[in-house]
Order: sequence, then structure tokens, then C-alpha cells
Amino acid sequence: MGSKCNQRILLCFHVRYEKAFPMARLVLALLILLLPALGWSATFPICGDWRIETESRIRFTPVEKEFVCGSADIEAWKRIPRAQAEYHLGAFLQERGFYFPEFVTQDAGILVRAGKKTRVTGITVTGSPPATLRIAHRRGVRRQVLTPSLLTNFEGWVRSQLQSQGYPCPTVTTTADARTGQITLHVDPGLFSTVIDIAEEPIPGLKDGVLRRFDAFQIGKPYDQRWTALTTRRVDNDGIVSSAYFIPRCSEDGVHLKQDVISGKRRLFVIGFGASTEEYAIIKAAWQQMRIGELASSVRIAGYASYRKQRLRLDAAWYVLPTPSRWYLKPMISTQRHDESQYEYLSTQVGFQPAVNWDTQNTSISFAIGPISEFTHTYRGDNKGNAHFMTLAASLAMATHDFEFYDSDPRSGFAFTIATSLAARSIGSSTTAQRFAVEGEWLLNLGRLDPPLFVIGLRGRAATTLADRGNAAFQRLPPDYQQYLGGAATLRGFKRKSVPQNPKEALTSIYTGVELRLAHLLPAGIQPLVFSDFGVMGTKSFDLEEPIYWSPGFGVRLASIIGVIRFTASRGYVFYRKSPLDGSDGWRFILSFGEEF
Amino acid sequence: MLKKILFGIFVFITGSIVLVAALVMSVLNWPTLLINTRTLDAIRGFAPRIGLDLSWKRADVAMQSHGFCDETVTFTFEDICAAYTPTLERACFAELAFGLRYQLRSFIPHLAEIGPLTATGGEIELALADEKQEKPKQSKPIPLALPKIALPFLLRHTSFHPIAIELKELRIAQAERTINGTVSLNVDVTDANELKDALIEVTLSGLDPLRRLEAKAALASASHFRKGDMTLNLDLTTALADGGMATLHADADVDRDRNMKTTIDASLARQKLKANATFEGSLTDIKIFGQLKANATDLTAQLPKLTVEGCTLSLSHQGFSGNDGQLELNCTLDAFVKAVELPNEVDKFYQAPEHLRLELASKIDTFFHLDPEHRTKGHVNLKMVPVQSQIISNGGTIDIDVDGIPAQFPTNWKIASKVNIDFLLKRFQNLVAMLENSPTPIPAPFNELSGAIELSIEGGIEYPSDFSRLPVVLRTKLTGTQQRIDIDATVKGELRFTGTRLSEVGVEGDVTLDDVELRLPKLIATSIPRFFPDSRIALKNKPKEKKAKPNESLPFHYKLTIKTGAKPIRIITNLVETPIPITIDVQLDEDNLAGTIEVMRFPVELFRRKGTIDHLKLTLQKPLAKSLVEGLAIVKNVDYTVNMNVVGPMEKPQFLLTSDPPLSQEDIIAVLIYGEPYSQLDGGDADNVSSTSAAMANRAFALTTMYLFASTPIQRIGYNPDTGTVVAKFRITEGTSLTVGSGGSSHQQVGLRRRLGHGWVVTTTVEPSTDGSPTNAEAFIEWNKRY
Repeated sequence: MGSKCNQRILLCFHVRYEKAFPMARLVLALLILLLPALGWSATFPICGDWRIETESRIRFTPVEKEFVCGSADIEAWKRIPRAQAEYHLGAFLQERGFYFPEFVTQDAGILVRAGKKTRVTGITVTGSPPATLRIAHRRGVRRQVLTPSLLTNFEGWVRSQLQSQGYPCPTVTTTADARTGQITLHVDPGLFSTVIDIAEEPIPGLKDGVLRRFDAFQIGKPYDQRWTALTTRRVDNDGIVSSAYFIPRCSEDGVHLKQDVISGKRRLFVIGFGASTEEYAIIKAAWQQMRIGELASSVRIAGYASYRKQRLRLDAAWYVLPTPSRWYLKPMISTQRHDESQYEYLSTQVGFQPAVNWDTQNTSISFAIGPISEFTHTYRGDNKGNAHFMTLAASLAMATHDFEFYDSDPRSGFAFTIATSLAARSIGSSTTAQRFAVEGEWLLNLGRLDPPLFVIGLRGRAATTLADRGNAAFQRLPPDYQQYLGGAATLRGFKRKSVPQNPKEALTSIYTGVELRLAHLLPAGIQPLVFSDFGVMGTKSFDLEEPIYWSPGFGVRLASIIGVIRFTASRGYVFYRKSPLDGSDGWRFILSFGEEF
Repeated sequence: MLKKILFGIFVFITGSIVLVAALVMSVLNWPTLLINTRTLDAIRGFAPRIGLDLSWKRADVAMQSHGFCDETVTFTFEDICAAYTPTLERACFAELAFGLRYQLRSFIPHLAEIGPLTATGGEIELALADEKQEKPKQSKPIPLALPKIALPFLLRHTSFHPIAIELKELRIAQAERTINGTVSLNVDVTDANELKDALIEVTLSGLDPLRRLEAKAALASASHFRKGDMTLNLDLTTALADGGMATLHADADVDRDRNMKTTIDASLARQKLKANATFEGSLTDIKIFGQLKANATDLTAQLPKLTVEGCTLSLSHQGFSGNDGQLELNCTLDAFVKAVELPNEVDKFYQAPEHLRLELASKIDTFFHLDPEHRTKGHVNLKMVPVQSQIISNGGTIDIDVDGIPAQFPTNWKIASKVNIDFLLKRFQNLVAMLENSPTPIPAPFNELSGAIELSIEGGIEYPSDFSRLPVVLRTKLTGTQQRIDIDATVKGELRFTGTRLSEVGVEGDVTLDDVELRLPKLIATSIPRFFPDSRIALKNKPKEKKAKPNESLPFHYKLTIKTGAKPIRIITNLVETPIPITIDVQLDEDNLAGTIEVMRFPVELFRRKGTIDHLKLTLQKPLAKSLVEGLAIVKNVDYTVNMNVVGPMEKPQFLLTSDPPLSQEDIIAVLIYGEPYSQLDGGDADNVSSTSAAMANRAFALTTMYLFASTPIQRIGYNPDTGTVVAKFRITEGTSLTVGSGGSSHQQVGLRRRLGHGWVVTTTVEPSTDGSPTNAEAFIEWNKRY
């Protein structure tokens, strides 16, 4: 602590640090944080007589320090010659982007002037890269500090890109010039390959090919490691087995995939916790019996409870065809209670739907259709009382693979769902009502950068319930047949399901929202965003009426280790207000967990 | 009748004799009767018939009578020329005059006086046949003794007059070469008309490789050249074609018995080279003995000075006939070599000697008289007087056996050398201390060692062969507190020749690591830093490739075998309790890297249990990452014995797990990590097992990762099978953890389920609404349990 200040150094914090008052420490700490921005340097001790002069403090590990100053415990490593210490220190500094340190002997010891970090100035590509490889799309390399790990990551990214473009076994190497910051990337993509076959490890008790219903790729199409990863993830999420992973093997005729499987136990119990400012605390639990029969059918009972919603659901995926197939039956019985600001009801549904899903090389599609019997008792709301429906429900969902793959870091692709349920009073329903809903989301990664810089999202939903308002039985139409907007999923400037307010019944709603997110630029996973939501509703089927709801806002998305946390602040505006009861302007703040645009 | 006939014959013969005698007497007394200008003209006319062309402008023959048959005849020619093709193109003198006196003594004619002889304005042109076209001649030994110069018996009593011959132009043409020169010979006589001395001066130019030669020889004889005694003073000066100059001064004194005492001083100045030698000795018909002294400066760039002092030379004739001789040469050579430019750091502890004293002793059976065709065979011993550098001493001997014919050198020569040169570093710590603060110190942990290092160049070098070998032996005896390095290396430096030109240099040999024990620094398995700069990142410009000069592009090859001796190398580290034994047997050459490095059996803690590394064998290949690894680790717990086999290339080895009693792959991993079968694990632990199994199946574990995996408590391990990346979280100490893994693009880390460990995951679910409201995603922190 008694070391002298170097005359070139403006501040020598370590000299006075221990004696400083807490407030002074705080000020000094702030100044240290500001040093890089100010271009100032300070000296910091390394070990022994070694000190380092840098713009920001470098912390060396204990092992690194022993390679510089020697080991007190080991005789053979007690004395480290200066040149050897300089060599090791040079290597350690290289890992931190300093390539031209100077070692200066001073009275007080040896001062290491770390110098400036080398930043990447450009990338030159050699070899035979395919035209589809767009190095310019890679962010986080240019102007970044040149380090060995940066090169390794860059190689990994290029390799990954090639493996997503039909080149399963590329050879990628990099070199760099520390003086100029220029990176030279050499690419040998290898053979452009298609998936030839899949060798599936047998699963005891199951027929071969059962896992093919999760495939997000097609045999005979170019290999894309993202889609095999997506397949693995689907299996993982389904829980049919503990793990199933692909091992690609390159050959001249293409890629041969081997799918290794760890079966695991057949029963799974899950308990989970979540929270949001709309539903507050959420708890859910599920029990699942998997791999029933040779075709791996499953049955699940799941409970969900929050302040707004409680649900108990028993469903199954019953594969009834004699061979492994994507066709299955979805028997289901579910009872749920919804307690929203405008209504409260208890509903029980029993359904039995044939369903299928299939994948093209880039898109997945699922379809289900079948009868659902529903009994609803409305405790609060416009139409109190009991209602029952025998409906023919159908849904068609479509999503691109990249939309699904980047689910936790949305950046591209689209997804949409068309759903309908048809009920007629003459066929066991309290009233005749048909619900139609179309909703979708489209994401655009501006510039197709990786990782993305700006992501534009567009989402919307159009829904209507076809019912005869003039019919007396219309009064038995429960809340889940009516349209509501507001909340994190729709109009973020309005309270959850608070729109419409006058009249409180709406049979038609259209909502669209657009959001611009600044992704992967700020540290700590902070992603600011601005958005604008629009909504229009109608009291009649297929009809829209004033007012128009608009809620611009801003927010921040935080990709934390426990999931995505979003905070949005938006103000709701009501245009073409017909009466003061149409709703009020005001700010809404939403903190959600797991919610994406 | 017969008597008449006999009488007639007698009268005829007697008459004839009398007539001839009278005629001879008449000619002797009046030589001009026969020798006169007319007869000379007749001879000139007859000469072409025998191929000789003679001509002169004027010829005169004069006679002076001193009595009966005591006459002096003097010839005088003006502009006389002769030609005798094809050799003598032309020989002309402007003036040629010589005289001689004869007299009858006891009626026997004697040459009483010779001379004076004067030939001036001489010009001679010779045309010699091309030597290359001539058949090779059997060379004859060139006597080392001077030729005996003594007047013939018939001239012992002849008086001489001065002789002066001047060739102002001598031209000798041979093939495409022409030699020009001048020659003068002056013989002086005493007052008593006895030969006194002779002075020969020759100047020649156009000789190859000599540009000009000037020779001046003065001969004198106490017996006036009557008894073979003679003194010779020879001065020879030559100008070499490359601008150099060579001089030779020889004084020789030959007695009547042909014993010669001589002193020779020779010097050579050629470019920077300056050399002179002095020989002082005696020469008889059977022995040459003398002292030789020589010195040379700037002999070569590497040898700026060489002196030979106290050199005794003895060449004895062997046998009673023939030309066998035995040469004995004992010298002290002082070679002042150019200081080898060693790296600064080496220069601090070892200065290559600039002065080498070599004691040369040789005994060689060879010719006596100079005969390059004579077989030469013998032994030369060179002893290097020990040289003490700052901390390294060196000395040694070179014994050379030679056998060959000098004229054919180096073809058909056999040269066998035995070299024994030692370099000894007695105290390694002195070297450590000396280099401590240099740019290239002895690094830790080697700087703790003490002991000696001995480097010997010992062994035989033979010639001829396609290559010569220079054996080098390196021995170390270094010890430290926990370390030891005993190395016995035998390396042969190879010099390959094409003809006489050095065409390739190489090193071949064995390095035996007899006893090596090294201490590693204190390491933390989870925090092993990068000790060496990343080779992918260049700090300097690549050096421009120099255009190799022919002598710089000498091919270099090496072939080394490095292996351990009876004891394996032991590596001491805090990561394991006992030293890690390693045996190596590696063959290195410029094209291949082959051999094995094998870690032998040692106990180690694996997965928090006592285990054993049974062996880990690395079969080297180029590139190194392709080397094959094969090994076995054994982990035992109460119920199971797990064998971890590793096979495959080092960059992507495959780990195979087997157990006794047999378990499934995931059960083995579960037993290793958690000590219980897979079926007993909760969801998170089972996920870890799944990830581990997937990573092992995909060869995503490098050896180092697997070591870290096996030696460090694992909190969580995640594997992306499609990108081949492993992310593992290790518990370092209570409350702290380390996450390591291969990086990569961001989308390698995306996923709907994010595992937190111990069965906890973060899931994001998107469920279609059942109440007609919009779908929305929700995230949950879940705890999973399979059973």
C-alpha cells in the first residue's frame, strides 16, 4: 500500500483506498467505473511487486498470480524469472484483449502497462464459403475486443450457421492480427447434405418410429441442425422419454442421424410457480402417465390456480392407429373458474377430438376437430345462470419452425391459429352460438442480424361470436362466448379484460399490436421496447362499432436466468367515445413473467 | 700377286689415313675451309629437307689462330631465325654471336674455351599440343632435390666466357591459351675464365591461374659448377588472376654429396588472406627434415587467423628402392576463429572460444619424392587444448585415419575420424543465476535444479559415404527438492554429400529420459488458465520469406527418438496424491510424429470416490489433434465397479462406460455422478445424467472437460446435442460455482425449458385458450419428478 504513484497516472486509488471514508470509497469506486470512459488509467496491484496500469481493473485468478509471482508452498515454483512471468502475464492479458503490454521496472517493482485493448476492425473470409453464409449478419464481432474466446465463439457461430444451411460437417478456422484487429476466417463447408435416414434406438415397450411424430425436419431435405434441436426439444417438452438426442454422421451420400434415447420413468409429477401483475401468484401441478401402450399414448391431470383463474384438467393423447402416426385422439375433461373484473363463471368441458399434426421442412401444422360438451355457470356478469353447449370445435394452428425454435428469444417467423366452435340450440345447447377466432403473430428481425438488434413484432386477433341477440336464449350466453380486450395479451393500456365497458357485452373484437424491441444491445439482457396496440369491438356478430381503443407504450424485456420478465407502461386512449362509460384514459403498468409479445 | 694386292691395299689405306689426317689437320688448322658462309648457306638450303627453316640476314664466320690447330671460331648472325614445325613456330634473334676455341692436346681435340655467347633481341614462338588431347602420361615422381648442375667431364678444363641470352619475347601457345614472357640468362665468369655464377630471370604472363610470374634465380658454385655443389637464391613473385600475390624466396645450399640445406619463405596475399610460411630444413637422398612455421590471416570468414608454430616435419625414405616415404608432422596449431554469434542469452554463459590450440601429431606413409599418384595412408591426431569459458569448459581430440591417392582426392579416399570433444557445464545453478534476468531465463520449475550437464561430440565420422555422421552425446544430472532430470541423449549430426558438396544436414538419434521427475505448480481444476498465447492471433508481421541463396537452402532433416528409460517420468501435482507416471516413446522427424505417450497406473479421486487411472495411452499422429487416445479409468464404490474406457482421436474421444455388475449407460453415469442408479434420481439429476449421456455419445467431452467433470462436484450439466456444446456448472466451494462450456451463437442457448438444477426448470408454456380469450405465454418455475 505504500507504493508510489506513477507520474503518468492521474489517480492512484489503491494507495489511499483502505484509509478512505465510506463516502470517499463510494466516490472512488464511481470514479474507477468512469475511468474507461474518461480514458484515464490507474494502477492496481497484481501480486508481489507486480502492478498493472489499466483503464479498468483486471482481476487475476489465484493460479494466474502464482504463475507471475511464484508459489509460496512449492519450492520448484517459488522463483519465477521475470521473463517467464512476463510471458505468462502476456498470455493472461491476451485472454482479456491486451496484446501489447509494456513491462517497466520501477523502484517499487514492475509496472505492467496493459495498453489498449485490440478491437476487431474487419473480417476477411477465405476458403469456399457458400453464398448463403452472410458474415455481415453476425453482430458482436466487429468493434468487439479481440480475444481467443471471441474467435472461438465466432468459429462456433459460423459452424452453426453452416450446419443450419445443409453443411453438417464444416471446417472453420480463424486467425487474427492483433495489431490491426483484422480477423481472417477460413471456411471449408464440406458437402451440402440432406438427411438420409434416422436410426432410432429402440425404446422398451414401444414400437419403432414412435418418436418420428416429433420430427421438425424431413428426410431427403437439407440438414438443418436447428430443426433436429427443435425435435429434441419437442420430445423433451412432451416428456415421453427423459432424453432423445441426435448424433449426426456425415457421409458422402448425406447425413445419417442416430437418435439415442434415455427412456426414464413413465410417470412425471410437476409442480410449478409463476406470477404476474394480472394474475398475481400462480401455482400449478401436473401428473402425467406416459408411454401407455406400444404407441406411447399419455394421460395427464393438471391443476392451475391463480387469483383470476383456477382449472383442473384431465386429458390424454391417445394414439389409436395400429402404426406410429401423428394422428391421435384428444379426450379431455376440464373444469375451470374465471374471476375477472367483468364476470365470474365456472365451466366444465368434456371433449373428444381427433387431432393430427405434421411438419414440412420449415413449418409445423396441427389440426383438431371434435365435439366438446360444455357446462357453464355464470356467477357474475351480464348473463348469470347456467348454460350448456354441445359444440363442434375445430382448430388449425400453423407456426414456422424458426418461430418455435426461438420461442424464448423471439426474433423471426410467424404463427397463427384459426379456431371455431359451433353450437346449436337444437343439438343440446342452451343457445345457438358459433365462435370464430383468428389470431397470429409475425416477427421480423431487421437486417437479419444475429443476435438481432431490432425486432419488429406484429400480432393480432379477430374474433366473433355468431349469435342472435334478439333471441331470448341469448341471455344465457356465458362470458367465454363474449369478447373482451385489455391486459398483457391484447390492449396493454387497459385493465385485463376490462374492454368493453359500455355495453359490457361484445360479440366481435379485433385487436392488433405492433412492437419494436431493441434486442441484444444493452447489458444484463435488458431489452427496451415501444409498442402500440389498437382494438375495436362490436356488440353484434361480424360488426364493429366505435369507440376505438389505442394504447401506445414502452417497456423493457429482461431475459433473466429464471425466464423472461417484461415490464410495460402504456396509456390507454379511447377515440370516438360515444359515452363516458366507454372507458377511460389512463396508464397501465404490467409486470409479467414468461410473457412475450 | 697377293703381295701386290696387299701392298696396294696398305698403300691405299695409309694414303687415305694420311690424306684424311691431312685433311682434318687442314680443316682444324684452317676451319674456314669447312665452316664459312658458303657452307652455312648450304646448310640453310639443306635444312628445309629435315623440316627446319633457317634464315638470317647476315652471317659471318671469323677465325683466329693461336697456333697449330689452336683456333678460335666465332659465328656472328644478324637477324637469324629458325622454325621447326609444328612445335617451334619461330625463333629469332636480332644478333647472335658465339665463339669457341679448340686445340689439339696430344693430338686429341679439346674444347678449350666456350664463349662468349651473346644472343640479343630474341623472339621465340612455340606452339604446344593441347594437353587434353594427349594421352595421359604416367606421371613420374618429381624429385624434391634440386637437379644436379655440374659441368660434364669433357668440359672440366674448358674455359668460359660470359654468356648473355636475352629473349625479349617468348610466346607459347597451347590450345586457347597463350603465355607471353621474357627470359634472360647471364652467366658470369671469373678472371680465370671459370663459371662464376648464373642469373636467370623469367617473366611470364597468361598462366592459369597465375596472371603474372616473375622468377629470378641466382646460381653460384664454389667449384665453378664442376663438382655439383651449388647455392641457389630463388625469388619468385606471382600475381594471381584474382588480384592476389604470392612470393617465394628460397635459399638452398647443396654440397658435393647432394645434401641440401634450405630455407624457404613463402607468402600469399589474396583478397583479405595473408599467409606466410617458413621452412628451414635439410634434404638428403633419404630424408627431409625441417622446421615449419606458418601463419595466415583471414583464411576464411570463420578462421581469421591460423598459426603453426614449432612444427617438426620429417619425411623419410622407406626401403631401399621405390618412392615410399613416411611423413611425420608434429605441430601446434593456433586457430583464431571468428566468435560465433550466439544469442545474447547464451553468450552470457558461454562464449565460443576464439582461440583454439590444437596439437597435431601425424604419421603418414606416403611418397618421398613428390608423386601425387602414390598411395598415402596414415594417422593424424588433433588434440584440443582445453578451453575454459565463463561456466563451460570444453576440450577434446580428433583422430583421423586417411588412406587414398592424393591425385584422386577426394575420390577413392577413406577418411575415418574419431571425435571426442566435450563441453561441460559443471554447475547448472550458475547458468540459472546468469540467465535469471535475461530475456530467456531458465524457467520454473527447472530453475530450481542443480547439477551438471555434459555435452560430448564423440564417435566416428567416416568418408567416403553418402553422408558423414557426427555423434553428439548429452547427459544431464540435475536434481531439485522434488525434481530430477537425468537425460542420456545420443544424437548423430548427419552431413550428406553430393560428390564433395555438402547437400544436406540432419540430426538423428535417441534421447533417453533416464530419470525425470517434475513438479507442476499448484493448480485448481476449475481454474486452469491459458499459459500460452493463442496461436491464431498474430502479434507481428509474418517475416518475409527471403529468397534462399543456394548455400542457405541447405535441406535439414531430423529423426529423433525420445523415450523414457527404466523409470517413467513422474509428474507431481497437487491434483493427485501420487506422482503421475508417464512413459514416452516418440519418434519425430520432419514429416511424421509417431510413437506413444502413456500415462501409467496411478490412484486418483474420480467422482468423489477412490479410483484408478489404469492407463491412458496416446498414439501420436500428425496433426496432433488426430492422435489416438486409449485409456481406462476404474471407479469403485460399494456395489459397482465402473470402467471408463476412452478411445478415439484426441480432439473427439469416445468415452465408453461398462460396469460390474452390468448396468445401462445412464445407470452407470448416475452411479458415477450421484452414487445411485438412474431410477433413484429426481428429475434434475436425471436430466444431468441424460445430458451427460448425450454429450458422451456425441463425443462432446474433451479429455480436459471429462477430467473436470470427473474431479469436480457437478451442480448441473447441459448439453445441446445438435451444436455439440456442453455447459456445465461446477460447485467450487460452498456457495460458489463455476459455469464452463463451449460458447457459440446465442441460439445455441435458446430453449423452452431452462434447467436450474435439482429438478427445477423454467418452462414457458403457450396453451391455446379454452375460453375464447387470446392465448398468452406464461413462464413457470417447475419442479419435476419422474418415477
